[in-house]
Formats: sequence, structure tokens, C-alpha cells
Amino acid sequence: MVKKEIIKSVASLTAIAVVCAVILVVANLFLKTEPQTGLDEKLIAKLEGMLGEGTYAELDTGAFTFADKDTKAVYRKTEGDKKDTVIYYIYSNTGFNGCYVGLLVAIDADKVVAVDVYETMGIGGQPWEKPIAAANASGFFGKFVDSGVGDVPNLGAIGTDLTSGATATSSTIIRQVSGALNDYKVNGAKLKTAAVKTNTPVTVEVDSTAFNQADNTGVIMMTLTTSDAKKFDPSKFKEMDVTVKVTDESGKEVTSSIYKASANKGAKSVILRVSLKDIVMGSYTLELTVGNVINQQKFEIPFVLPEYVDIKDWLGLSGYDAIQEVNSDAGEDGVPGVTIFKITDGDSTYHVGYGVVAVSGDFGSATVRTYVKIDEAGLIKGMKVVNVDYENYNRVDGDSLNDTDINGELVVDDLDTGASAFYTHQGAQLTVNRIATVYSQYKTEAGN
Amino acid sequence: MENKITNNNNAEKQSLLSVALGGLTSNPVFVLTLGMCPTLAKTNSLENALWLGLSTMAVLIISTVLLSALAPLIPGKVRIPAYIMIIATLVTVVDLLVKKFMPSVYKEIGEFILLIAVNCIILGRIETFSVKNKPHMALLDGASMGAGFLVALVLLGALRELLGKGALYGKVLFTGFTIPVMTEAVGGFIMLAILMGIFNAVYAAIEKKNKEKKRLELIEAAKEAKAKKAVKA
Repeated sequence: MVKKEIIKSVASLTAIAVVCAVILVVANLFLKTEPQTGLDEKLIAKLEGMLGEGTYAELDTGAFTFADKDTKAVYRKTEGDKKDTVIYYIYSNTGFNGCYVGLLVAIDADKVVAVDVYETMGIGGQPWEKPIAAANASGFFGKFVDSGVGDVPNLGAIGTDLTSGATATSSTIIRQVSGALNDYKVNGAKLKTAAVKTNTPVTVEVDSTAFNQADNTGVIMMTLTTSDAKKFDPSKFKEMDVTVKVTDESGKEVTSSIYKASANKGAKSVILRVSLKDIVMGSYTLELTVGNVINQQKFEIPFVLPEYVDIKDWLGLSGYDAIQEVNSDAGEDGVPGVTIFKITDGDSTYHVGYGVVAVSGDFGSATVRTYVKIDEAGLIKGMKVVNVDYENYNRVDGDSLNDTDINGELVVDDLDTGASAFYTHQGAQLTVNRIATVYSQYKTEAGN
Repeated sequence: MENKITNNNNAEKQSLLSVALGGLTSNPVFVLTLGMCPTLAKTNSLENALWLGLSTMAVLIISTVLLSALAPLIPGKVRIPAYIMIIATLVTVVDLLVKKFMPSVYKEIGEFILLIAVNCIILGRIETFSVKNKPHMALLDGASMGAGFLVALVLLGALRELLGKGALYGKVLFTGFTIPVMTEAVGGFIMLAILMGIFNAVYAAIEKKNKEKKRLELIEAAKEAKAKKAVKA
């Protein structure tokens, strides 16, 4: 009876243990975390501590097979003293479940010049003290690649340099240095000329479509792309730490908030939307950090005039490049300032006359922007009127002018007007007439 | 016969209700004072408290249901090691999930996620409730207790972060009137004591009210019985 009970207990515990082990193996397979390898401030500081100031780059190692399978990345010093030094980043299990040592091994010409522990992972994901204490690995320095000391037994004698008690860590570090030396024998020359990796998100488009100077707010749409979805996976973009810092010319930070768009698995790019507050027209600098290791990007944000935004939206143009200013007249009090734009939309070319005027009277005032689309033959093909103060776009309908020759006698009094849109109507009338004059001048003077 | 069925249904409903409210009436933190280690150590911010609470809740719900179903198959003498193995496996999976998908959160609460395996709430609920009840009751109990633990942690985290840093979920709301000690361990004890006091005072008041109501009902019933007896006589 007792025997049966013991067998039952052992059997049930064994069954549970097997099921648990299977679950853990599968979970590890799908949820294993890869160490971050991209260059960031922390890593650059570490590399500068090892090799002095200069510039460093992560190499594209897609075509390489490394002697140590735990080699996660290879960096190269591209400028400064000890230029072309190759630095291996090897991240290995110490033998204790969940404990890792990430070691940087720098090899210059044919010998180890620096070794440093970069990252450790102890139980519970916390940095482990022993590898840090063991970081004094100067005993490895000067070990030559081709002299036969690059093997594990010989390097093992250097273990005395390592803090006592860090046995597993010491042997892991020795194995890693050995792996780097052995690999350098084979790949060293190629690594010195290997291409630099470009896995970091690249901003391929900055679109300031929604900039609105009226209320000092704006939106930047950025498309971030990657060549290596493993390092920067757009489908995981929502969980990534993304920071954007926008500063004006004086270095003052602009208030911004980020919206991260979703991306499908396998996508190579993702849209990042940044809303800005309290901005004025001018030159700005944007600094983007994705994750805690991927590099930062700086670029100027061009501010777009409201008329460009309106024309782009109205005509459904894909960018601002299609809009080119060809003539303008500053105007004066009561006389609209007018600009003529040449639009290149695919194969077709036409013009848009734009004018703005402030009108006022006993009932109040209004600032009115008027746009007139003019085709190649000089015929009006549409009109848009914006009352800046009330945004009542539809209260003046310019369709009655369609197909009218802009160079001929315009009768703009007949514009259809919504009730109470007196000033909007008045502003549009003045502006269309002025656009007709400035457009005719442009056509005559330029011989167009 | 019909009356009996109705009474049984009422009793079951009553039992379900009392289990569902367990997280409130027997709150693991404020009443049972269980899981004090993570409660005090990692409620220095709302973010830490929320994710630790959710992780614990997930492990609690899955382990209570799983072990309620498996309990009849596990011999009594080896039940504890069996429970530990299953709980530890679940905790490891949660640990891997958080590490993979929320590395910044993991940096803050990583070690405490693994410690969920030895959190007395988990083993406590399994031993006292899950293995003695059906899986659907275990699910209700796990969800209720987990939610109770989560709410307690979130309350502590939010108040400590707000008072200590003038922030909520990392977003600074005000500066100048902060009490930095609230984000330290000392602040954890102080805030826990305050919340525990408030919770127990409110709970005691409700209990008192209920008792009084019950007492009045009994008096009323006795009066009615007496009146009936008098009529009969």
C-alpha cells in the first residue's frame, strides 16, 4: 500500500515536472530576449573608456560566421587613436540558468588591447556583481592572435586576475576572449573593412502637413524604416521607448507628444506622429531616440506657410515640392497681398493665385484668404475662400467664375454668398480682382 | 421540493457573491496583510505597482484554476512540491513575457516578478480555497483576490508617486509640494498604515451597520412570533 503510494507520488511529480519543463522550453524558444547591440551613449562611453575618444561603428556582420556563436555584434573604431580596432561583443550564459556576461574584447592589429564587461544578467534580470568585480581583466592584454595563446587552456592561467569567487564568470570571460582571438585569426582582416551596419531607424520622410501657425501647433509625420527588423521591429514599435526632443534655435525645448502607429508583422517601416505645441515659424531641431540603444537623429524641421498647406490640401498634392512661387505683390492696406504659384502635378502644370486681405466695417472684421486655380489657357478652374477668423470656407462659392478667362473682364460681384458672409464675400471679391491683375502682369512680363 | 431548490440556488448565489467579494472583504493587503514584501518595496510608482499587481493577478488566477482542476490527481504528501513546480513555471513564463515585451518595466520590477512564486497569497489561496473547490469557484476567488491585491498596490503606488514626486505614471503633475520620503521604504510603511487604517475603519463601520440591521431584524421576527403566539392562544 505504502509502496503504491510512493510510486503514485513519484509518478505524479515526474509528470508535472516533464510538463513544466516542456512549457518552459517552448516559452524560452519564443520569448528569449536578445541583448541590445546598437551603439548608444552608454556603449560609446564604455568603448571610449577602453580605447579612448573617437568614433565607433557597428559592423554589418550578416555574411560572417563567428568562432564563438555567442558573438552578438562587432564594432570598429573608425576615427581616432587605435583606428580600425575591432571590438567583439560576446554575450554568453555563465552556466547558471538566466545568468549572462556580455563582454567587449578589443583586438588591435594582432593582440588584445582591452577587455571590459559591458552587461550582465543575473537572476531576475538584475546586474550581477561578480562580473563587474571581475572586470579587471588586464591579464588578457597583449595576448597575440597567432602565438597560440588564444586557446582556452592558456588563457585559463590568467584566471588569477579575476576576482576570487567568480569562478563561473571567470571561465565565461576566458571562453569569450578565446573565442574573439580565434575568430580574429579568420575574420580579422575582413572585419577591418566590413561595411557599417545601417539597422537603425532612418527617417525617410518628415511631413509637416498639419502645421498650423494660427494656433501655434503642429504635427510632424515621420516614417521610420529599418533594414533589420530583428533589431528594430516595426510590429513591436508600440512597446518601444521612443523619445522625441524638439528644440528651437536658442536650444529651448518645445512641448511635444508622440503617437506611435501600429505596424503589421514583417513591416519595414512605421509612422511616428509628433504633435507640437507653442511653436512659431522658424528653424527647429528634432532629436529622435528609439529604444535605449538605437542611435539619435537630428534634423531641421522646415516650417510651411499656411498657404502651402491650404493649396496642398485643396488640390490633393502629395508634397510641397509641387508648389513653386513665381510672382508676388505685397499689397497694402485694403489691397490684398497676392502670390502666384506654379503647380506641377504629375504631367499637368497650372497656376494658383493666392491673396490675403483684412476687411473691416461696422459689423466687425475678417481676414480672408482666397485661392484661384487657373489652367494653362488662363481659365479659372476653381476657387477656395478661407475666412481665417471663422473658417467658414463654404460661405463663398466661386463656381460661378469657373471657365472665366482670368485675363479678361471679371465680374466677381456675382459670387454666390452665404447669409451673413459679408466680409468674406468682400475679401474674396477684392482678392480675385487683384490676383487677375498680378497673374496678367506675370504672364506678360515673363512672356509666359 | 420547489422551496428547497430555491433555497439551494439562493445559497449558491450567496456563496458566489461572498467569494467574488473576497478581494474586498478579505483584501490580501489591507486585511490579510499578505504579500507585504513586494507591496512595500515596489509601490514607489504607479507603473511598478500596476505591472507587479497584474503579473501577480495573472499567476494567481491561472494557478488557482489549474490546481483546483489537478488537485484530485496529486497525492496529498507531495502536493506542496507539485504546487511550487506549477507556480514557478507560470511565474517564469510571466517573467519571460515581461522581460521580452516590457524591458523598461522589467528593469524596475524584475526580481519581484520571480518572487511571485513565493508570495503567500498564491500558495495561501491554493491551499485554503482552490484545492477544496471547483475550478469555476477557484477562478472567481483567484480573480477577486488578484483584483484586491492589484487595487491595493495601485492605490499605494499612485499615492506614493503623487505625494513623493508630484507625478502619476511618470508624468509630472506638479512640483514644489512633494514629500520625497514617500517614494522611499519609510514612505511605503506610512502610506500602507494610513490606507490600512482607513480601509479597516470603513469596513468596521459597514460591519457595525450590518450587525445592527441583523439585530433589528431578529427583534422584529421575535415580536412577530410572539404576536402570532398570542393570536393563537
